[in-house]
Amino acid sequence: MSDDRSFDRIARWWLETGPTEAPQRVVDDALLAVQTTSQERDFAVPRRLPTMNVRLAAFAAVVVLAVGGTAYLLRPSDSTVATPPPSASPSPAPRSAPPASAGATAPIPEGSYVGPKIQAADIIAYVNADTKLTAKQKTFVIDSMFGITKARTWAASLEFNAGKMTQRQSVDGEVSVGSGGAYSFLDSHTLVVKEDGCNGCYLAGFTVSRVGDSLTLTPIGPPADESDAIALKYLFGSGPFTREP
Amino acid sequence: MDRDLVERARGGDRDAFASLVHQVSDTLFAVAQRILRDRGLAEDALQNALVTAWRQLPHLREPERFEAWIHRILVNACYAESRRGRRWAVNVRVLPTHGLTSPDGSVDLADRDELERAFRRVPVEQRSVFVLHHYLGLPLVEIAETLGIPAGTARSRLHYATRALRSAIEADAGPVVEEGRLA
Repeated sequence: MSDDRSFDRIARWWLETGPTEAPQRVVDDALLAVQTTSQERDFAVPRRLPTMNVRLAAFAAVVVLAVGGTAYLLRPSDSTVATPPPSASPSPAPRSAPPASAGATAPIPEGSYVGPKIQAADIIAYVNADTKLTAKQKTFVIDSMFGITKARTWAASLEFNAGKMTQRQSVDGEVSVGSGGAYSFLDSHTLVVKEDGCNGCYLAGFTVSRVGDSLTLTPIGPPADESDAIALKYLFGSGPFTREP
Repeated sequence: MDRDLVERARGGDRDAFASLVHQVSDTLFAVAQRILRDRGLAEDALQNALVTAWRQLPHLREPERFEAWIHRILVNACYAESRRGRRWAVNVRVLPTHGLTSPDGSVDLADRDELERAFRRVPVEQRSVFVLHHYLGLPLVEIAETLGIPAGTARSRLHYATRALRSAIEADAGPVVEEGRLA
């Protein structure tokens, strides 16, 4: 017991005593739960921006504020990009009460915003035509990221509720939940999302353009790689998201 | 680990995932049991870890890292169960062991109890590193990668857990903390 080797030997001996087989009942219960559990598809783009850390987000915010401030001072009176507060919006009232940090989430009325329905074949063709992706990467994007190998249609949606943004995708009508996280606005154009459950808690930033009930998000910063670029193209670039009534 | 199975499971094949589960569940349960020192909590941690793994599998970019990846999910599930378990920690008792002595005879039953008591007092983060190192035999660098922590943090966690256990044996002291507050 007096030296490290002796202690290591005793520690291993001590740890080796005890159960070594998982109870079958527990494994069966887990597999039963899996039968009714959807997988999270990795189209959740916020985690694809690992370089968008807090410092970069702050820098981006400064730039956006500077540019936005200038644009505000020089803007024509009928600007359609600047977003009015919810109370001034003609859109229906938010479905749920605003969160405690209502000031930070005010530029977007809470609710679900649905993107356009896209033919899965179009996405597959686009991915397969990408010369920067290897065959394996293409398979990953089609099978795992979008999950549309045998599907007909794909659509994305974003939900803003109680200070949280959640991404979803619908494949032939079957909805699966992607990642999401707490969101806030640095200003009326700049949305930041701190993703839940990620390693290192990445921060994603978007510039926001809202016209009535339509919302367009443009990610700040370059995609991490080509597969991310494709995810970004379809998740956020496929067209405006329209708020569900 | 069969890479093809991992890729199929990642693509949504539940049968492939079940095959993976049958390959790893014994080790996962053994690790959870040793970290948590409680069979019920270990069962819950295993079940939660398996369901979480299924849900998050499409996020796994490197199939060959499946085992390390699922170990991290399990350890996180152990952290959650450990926090949950504190509520009824008062009911946890150290179970007696019969006729067990260490290979060199230097640790007897009383020492085992001391080890058990001391280990339960160690924070679960330190226990996890200790178990991954001494039970699974993982080097510290690999543990750090698996848990997503700096190597220095893994080293210090192992150091503190080791120190607690060494002093439990060497000091030959009586109970330091009441049993009901150990878990």
